[in-house]
Amino acid sequence: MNKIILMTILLLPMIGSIIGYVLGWKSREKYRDLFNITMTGLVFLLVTYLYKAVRHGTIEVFIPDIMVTGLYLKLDMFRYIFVWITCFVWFLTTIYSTQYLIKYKNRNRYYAFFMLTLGSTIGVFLSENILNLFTFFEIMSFTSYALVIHDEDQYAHDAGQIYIGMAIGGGLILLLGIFLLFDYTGTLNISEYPLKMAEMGGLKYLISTLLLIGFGIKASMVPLHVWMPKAHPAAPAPASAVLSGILIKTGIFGIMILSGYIMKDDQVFSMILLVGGLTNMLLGSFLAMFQRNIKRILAYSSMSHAGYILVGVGLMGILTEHKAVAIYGALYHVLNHALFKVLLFMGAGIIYMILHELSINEIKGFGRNKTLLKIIFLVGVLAVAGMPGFNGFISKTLLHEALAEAHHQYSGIGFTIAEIVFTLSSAFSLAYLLKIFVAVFIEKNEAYSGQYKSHVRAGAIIPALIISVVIIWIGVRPFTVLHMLEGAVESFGYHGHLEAHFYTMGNLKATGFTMLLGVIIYLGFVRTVLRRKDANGENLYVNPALNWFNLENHVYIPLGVYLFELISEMFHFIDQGMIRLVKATSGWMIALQHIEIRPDRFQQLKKKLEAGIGRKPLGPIEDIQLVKETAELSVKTKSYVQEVVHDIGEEIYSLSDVVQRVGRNMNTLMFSVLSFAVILAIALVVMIY
Amino acid sequence: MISLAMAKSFPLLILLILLISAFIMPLVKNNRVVKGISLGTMMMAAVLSVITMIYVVKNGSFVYRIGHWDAPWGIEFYISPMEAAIGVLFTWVAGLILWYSLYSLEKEIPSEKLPFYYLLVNVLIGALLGIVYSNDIFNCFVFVEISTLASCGIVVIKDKKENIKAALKYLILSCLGSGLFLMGIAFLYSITGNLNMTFIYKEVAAAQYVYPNVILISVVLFTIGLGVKSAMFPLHTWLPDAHSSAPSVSSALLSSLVLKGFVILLIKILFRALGFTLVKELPILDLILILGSLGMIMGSVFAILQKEIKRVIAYSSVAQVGYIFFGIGLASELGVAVALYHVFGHAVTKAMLFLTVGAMIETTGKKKIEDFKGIGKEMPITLGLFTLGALSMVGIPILPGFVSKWNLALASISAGKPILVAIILISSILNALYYFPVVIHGFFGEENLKDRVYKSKQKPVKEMLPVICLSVAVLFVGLISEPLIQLFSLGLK
Repeated sequence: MNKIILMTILLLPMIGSIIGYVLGWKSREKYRDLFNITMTGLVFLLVTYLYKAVRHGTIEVFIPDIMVTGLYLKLDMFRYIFVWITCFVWFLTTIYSTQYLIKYKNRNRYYAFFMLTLGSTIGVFLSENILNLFTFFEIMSFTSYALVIHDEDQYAHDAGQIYIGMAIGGGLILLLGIFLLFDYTGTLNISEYPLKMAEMGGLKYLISTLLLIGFGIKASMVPLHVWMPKAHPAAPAPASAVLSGILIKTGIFGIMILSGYIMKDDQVFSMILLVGGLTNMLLGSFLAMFQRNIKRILAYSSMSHAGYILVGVGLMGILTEHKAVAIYGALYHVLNHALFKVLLFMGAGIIYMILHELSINEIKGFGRNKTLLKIIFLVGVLAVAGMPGFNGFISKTLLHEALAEAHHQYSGIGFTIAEIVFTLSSAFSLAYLLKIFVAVFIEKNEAYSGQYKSHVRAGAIIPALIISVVIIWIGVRPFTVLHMLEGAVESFGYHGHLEAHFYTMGNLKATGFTMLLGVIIYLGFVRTVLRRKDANGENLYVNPALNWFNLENHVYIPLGVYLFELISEMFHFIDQGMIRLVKATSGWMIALQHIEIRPDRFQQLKKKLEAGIGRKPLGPIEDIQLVKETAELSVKTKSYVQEVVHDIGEEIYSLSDVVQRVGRNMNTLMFSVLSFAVILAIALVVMIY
Repeated sequence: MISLAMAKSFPLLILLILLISAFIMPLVKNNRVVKGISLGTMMMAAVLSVITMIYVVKNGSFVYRIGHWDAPWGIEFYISPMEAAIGVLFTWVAGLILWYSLYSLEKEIPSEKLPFYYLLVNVLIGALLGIVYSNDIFNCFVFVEISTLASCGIVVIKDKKENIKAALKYLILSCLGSGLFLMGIAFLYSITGNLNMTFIYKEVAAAQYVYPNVILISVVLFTIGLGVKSAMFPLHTWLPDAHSSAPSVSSALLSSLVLKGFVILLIKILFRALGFTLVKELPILDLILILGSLGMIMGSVFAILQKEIKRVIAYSSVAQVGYIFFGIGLASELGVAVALYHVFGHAVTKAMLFLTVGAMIETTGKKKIEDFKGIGKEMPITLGLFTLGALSMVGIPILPGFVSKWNLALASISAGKPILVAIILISSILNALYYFPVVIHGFFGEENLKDRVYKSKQKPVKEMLPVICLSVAVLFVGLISEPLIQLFSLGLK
């Protein structure tokens, strides 16, 4: 029964996508919207129903002969968390989409790909066979591409181009890694890797690097994050919500599998993850402060939060014995980030829905009179910033504790820096969120005085409200979630409870310090350095980071262009070489055919005589008779010489002439009989002696 | 199972039907009736041969005593799966070629000679089947003579200077070959005292130690004698003239069936009358292998040098027969089985090629390769079928040409002569060199296609239907390659 439900969860969105498309095609959009909501709701309910079964034991489904290697699905607690949050967020986003997309074109296409993306994302999380995982991963990349370019304007296509380019490139690198992995271990099942990889030497670093690049692109790891700040603002808000909240998590999921199963908490690899995560965290939040487009701020924020999770994953490997806190932290943050980032994107989406504008210079003061929107946004801001009482606080505290534990275990300057980076990026987070919040919801602007209130519809606001309630609820009662995570932690080989106290004086103090720092940065940097007065005396934000070093424009594109040119030059060279060789060979063959067969003396004689014909008689001769005779003689000689030349020409013939003559001779009856006799004689002689 | 038991007498029945009906034709004045008789008898023969084949596959090989005389005195037909399959091939391919000839033959030969032509064809096929079925060497010799004369007849029927020249050359060389063959029989008879192959096989085991040289001489005589008739490489000189000057229906018959009849006879004498173990010891197989390899390469080289399209295909036959001799010369069961398979593959493919080329020559009235540039636009179906045949000859997977090349390569590796694979490869490349230009210039090239009207010269599909059937047969032979090769290796035992 559970197996059937598992299959249903995977297949329902895919089937729903087709049925929804047909429904919408027949111009019954209302039914389609309702159908999609029902579908996602049903999937969410089914997943929730499975919770009890999964707590008792994993559910596995194996169907042979699909995709050659068979379809091997597995649902344990670790995967369940990802699947559950995916379905939950998707359900709410679908409801939200019905409102958001009212004025959009191509709604039908959007919903079809939205549902397909859901199906493939669930597929990624359920796959036990790594090749299945890869397949779903690729399907997801392609279907979500349709969501990114939904607007089909210049910006969306630019963003889509880099998105699909990096997705394909990453997919190929990932596939290369999987090939190597399969070649050296002989298995595709993820749970068999810890044993098989144990004996492998240095090669596993190559494999893990390839897989890390493949997954890292989706998880927007520095320096592979380039697509993210472009793709998220381009997509419609619900799509960027799931891109940011869920699709990033597929990359994270892959990296967790890579670190926890395939590399089996390898120290070096975990260190790389930790450093990568810290860089992500700092760079993401730092760059977020400069942005003016709300969605781009949120995108950079997602990048920074992916860094938090990666730090957790990295610490899992580093804190061998005490890794529990790191796992809890990472998984908790996966849940939290999905919740609050979706909430914030929904908020940003509501603004965009009304104003079609995202720059905070344009929309400032918009939310001053919209209390509900303001509250929702505030919840999101505080959750992201890690205010006590909201969910962000819990996971940040857990991650911070893990970092402190690592610092305790391996005391060194490195971990001190890590802690500083951690605090600093949390402070940056608060600063960039304050930048949005203060600008949009607190500052005054004559243009907006509550005239759009009726545009904020229930369908868009209710999902956001639900999420905010959940955020506060799991922030206040963290142990409900921690209880759920317990099973997941067991998947990584750790048993036992986590003794954690969140609302202690120390934690609150540390948070207070971070908050204070954030406010100081906001006041001292964001408001003063990044804001200038323009000609009208208005305060406008500027983005000096625009002219900074840009990975995409300054590294990847030139590198790609050079690589392409190099390769095309190379192939051009080979191509030309081949053509030259063939031409030369045929030239030689022709030359061989025209070799003139006759001794040199004929040739020389012919040349001499030919030269003689052309020569004019020497000098003027006075005697007329003599002149006449000479002329006659010369005409005679000339014709005679010409004849001789012709005769000699007959004597000179080329190899092809010889071949033709032989060919003609061979066709005669005489020759046939002769050859017959010769062959018979030879055969008899050879046979008998 | 009365009908299946009766199948034992079908081989004789086929021969009788073909030979007797042949001589009715000149008596009939109406050409339509003649065509009907010809096609009808061939179809009957085809159906009977299929029934025989089914019987043999089910019940194994059998011996049919003609007139119920026992072997050393009477004549026997020995039908193993190999013979039955070759019988099916000959009757069906001949049937399809005759079907094609219904529409096209009158354009090439005078209509008063039509009954005579169909007489010759029936006699020819009957004689060839006689060669295949008969277990008596002298009986075979008689059929060889009949088939030689009949095939000279279908070459000379056009009554032109070049035909007479070619036929004379063919006749003289064939007669030399027949003479050698007869001498070979005489030598073999003198040491074994028998003409029946089964009995020769029993006797020759004892005689080989007493008269080793006589056996060698007779084997050489058989090989050279039959080699002339089946266009073994240096003895092929009659073939291009005869095949290119004959009407295209005759060319198809000659190239795809007549050559093969003699090859089958050689295989029967070598491996059935003398026996595999004995022949393996003789150097004759090496000779055949060398001549076969030479033929594979030189046939293609000559084909490249030709300017007339029919001569190209005729020389290609020399190369393809080279493959068959190559397979025989490998001296392994697989080699011989593949050689027999190549008989099959080449028969259907070459018949198709000659008929398509015949159609092209018939509608355009031209013969040179360069005249056929852009023909693909005017006759897309015809050139398409030609392309299929060309692909098979060059060796594109699935098609029979590839199957035999692949298996020949495998056989030469397992025979311990991997160097021969190079010869197969070179020959394939050479094949591509003269077949592909026709196809490429036919279908592509802007200046080639200029001023050509699409399908303007296409023959009606009704008339091309037999060729389409042949193309299906080509694919079919390619697809059932595995069971066919197995069948042949069974038939050799």
